[in-house]
Amino acid sequence: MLHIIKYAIKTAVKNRNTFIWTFIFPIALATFMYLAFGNIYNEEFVMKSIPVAVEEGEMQEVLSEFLGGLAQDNGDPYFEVRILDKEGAGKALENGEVSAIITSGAEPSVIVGGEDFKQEIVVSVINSFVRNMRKAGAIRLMTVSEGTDEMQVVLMDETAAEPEVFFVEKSLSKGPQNIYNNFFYAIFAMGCLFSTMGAANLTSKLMPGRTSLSGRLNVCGTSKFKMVVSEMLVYFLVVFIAQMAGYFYMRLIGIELTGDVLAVAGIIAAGALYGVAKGVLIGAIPKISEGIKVGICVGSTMLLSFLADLCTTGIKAGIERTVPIVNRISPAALISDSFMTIYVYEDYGKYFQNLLTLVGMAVVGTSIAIFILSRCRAGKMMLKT
Amino acid sequence: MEYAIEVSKLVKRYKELLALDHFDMTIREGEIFGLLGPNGSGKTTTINCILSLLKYDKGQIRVFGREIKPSDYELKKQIGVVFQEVAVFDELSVRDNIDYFCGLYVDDKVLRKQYVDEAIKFVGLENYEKFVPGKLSGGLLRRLNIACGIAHKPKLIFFDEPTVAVDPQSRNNILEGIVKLRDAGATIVYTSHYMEEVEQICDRILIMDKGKAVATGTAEELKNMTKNRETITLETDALTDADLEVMKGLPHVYDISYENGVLSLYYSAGRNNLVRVVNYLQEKDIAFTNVHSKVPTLNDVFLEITGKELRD
Repeated sequence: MLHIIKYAIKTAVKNRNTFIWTFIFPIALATFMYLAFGNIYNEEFVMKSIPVAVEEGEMQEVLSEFLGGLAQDNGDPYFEVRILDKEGAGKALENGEVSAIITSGAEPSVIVGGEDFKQEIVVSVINSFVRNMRKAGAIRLMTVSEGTDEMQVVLMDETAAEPEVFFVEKSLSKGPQNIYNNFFYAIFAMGCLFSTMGAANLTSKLMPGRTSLSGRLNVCGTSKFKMVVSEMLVYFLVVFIAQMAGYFYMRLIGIELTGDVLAVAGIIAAGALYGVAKGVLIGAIPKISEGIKVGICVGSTMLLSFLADLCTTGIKAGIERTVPIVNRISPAALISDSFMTIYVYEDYGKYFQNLLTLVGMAVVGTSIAIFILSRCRAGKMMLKT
Repeated sequence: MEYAIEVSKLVKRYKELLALDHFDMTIREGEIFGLLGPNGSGKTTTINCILSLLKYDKGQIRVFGREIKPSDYELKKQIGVVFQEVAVFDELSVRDNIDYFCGLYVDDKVLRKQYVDEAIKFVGLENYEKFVPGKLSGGLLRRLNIACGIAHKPKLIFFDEPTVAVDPQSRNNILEGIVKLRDAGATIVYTSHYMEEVEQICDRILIMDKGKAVATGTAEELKNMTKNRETITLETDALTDADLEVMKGLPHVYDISYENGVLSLYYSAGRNNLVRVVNYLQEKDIAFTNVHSKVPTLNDVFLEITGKELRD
């Protein structure tokens, strides 16, 4: 068996097409996605404070304190506040020194010079501020009419000073909850599933009647079990290494996939094993042409990816409501869910359940393939007669 | 008598086409057995059925006394195959290819290295060990194909048209090599539609047509099946009807034709037939030219049995 593995590795490494594309797929896809969603990961975007001008007026102190007090997770302020007179603020906006001007009248408003995301953030924050200010005013009016002055003071104090905290937001995850990470999980899932094509091709050389090489391999004195398992193992390693290379590449370019490398390796290993086993099984189907096998590989991979929201969104949730069993056995769903279990939920029970399901399906598929291959005789030879 | 292969009443259909029609064949151990027939006669189908690569509809096949099955790896270890199409890995070097296929039969590393060295020497690829198949000429590629099929020293070797599209020098090397393998004790099954090759190296020959065995025997035995044993042709313009009557009466002549100045004499047996014809013409002082004596070939045998040429 070591003999076959040794030469399967040599063949795989020297087969440039398969080798290079297996490695290029996750890296290229990650690069394209990074270019598409790159700003999400761009520290300049996240960290840099938005310069705003607060016009001099009755609310200037409140607004300045409110905006200056809004801080990011890392402690940096969201806004860089400058108090300017009306003319100075106008010039600063014209020159692009500030993204917006906030008027300091009885009810503040926002003047923006464009429609980019920074200005949208300023508008959103000030709108929120004004809404809260109105609510506080309404409560004050209500309590005054009922003659409960004590309550009024408390509310005024709460509005002006530190509010009393009733709810604490607590993250269930150590890791990032960026929704765009789902697209990068999808790369691994699709990479694992697309390995079915290479594996199906690999099995074809063991099918009697396909080529003269398959004929020679079929009359040799080595069992099909050893040959299939050896070839599978090598191809699995190629896919696994390629996917892990993709993972480290993603980390290198700044995608938030930090954390437990072993857990990620476990998902990729189980996914790659499933993909290769599925390909071996498809390749072992007798009496159908190579073209049909490739069609089955591509079609099933696309369907499974679609059902698991790897191509679009909303399908998986619909399936969860109607036929949840599909999500429990769909390999694409299992792979992407496994990433969620380690990055979002930290649910290792679910993580291991997903991995065991994938490995179990791989073992069953491989066993069926070996059973077919070891008993298979061609009905029609593709060899020249 | 020990038989390497016994095929009995073998039937194989490809939908409407009857590829093997109750085909019978026995091959003795230690002989080169030739399967001769035109393209589509069923030669490769027979081999693929014997090798358990192809399902067959009826009949029985025994190899070294055992019915061969796809999972009978012990029996398969005694078999080597050289297919018509080159069956090697493009990514591996000459030595690696031979070592890979040999390793599917021989586990012992030391023994395997010895076998691989011997196979490389046997086919004369010593100077090309590190070459990949893509860098080899057609003839060298065929030699590599053979080395991959025989490196593990099988007792039974199938050669399926190994000389197709091979240059004359490589063809001779291949044919000499096959005889050496037989001399070393292997049983060879050799299929070809080149009757000269089959006649040259095979101990016994089976002629196939339309999935049936039409004749079996040594080359001489097969030729003896034909009525014609020699045909003499010569060109002359001076023959009279009287001369033709005399020649028709020469020993063993069973037919004669004289058209456009070409005389043809057909003999059913005999020796020195040509001398008698030449002596007669000299006695009569008749000028002649372009004299040919042709003994029957396996193609003539095939033609006489089936009514068509081997290469039709």
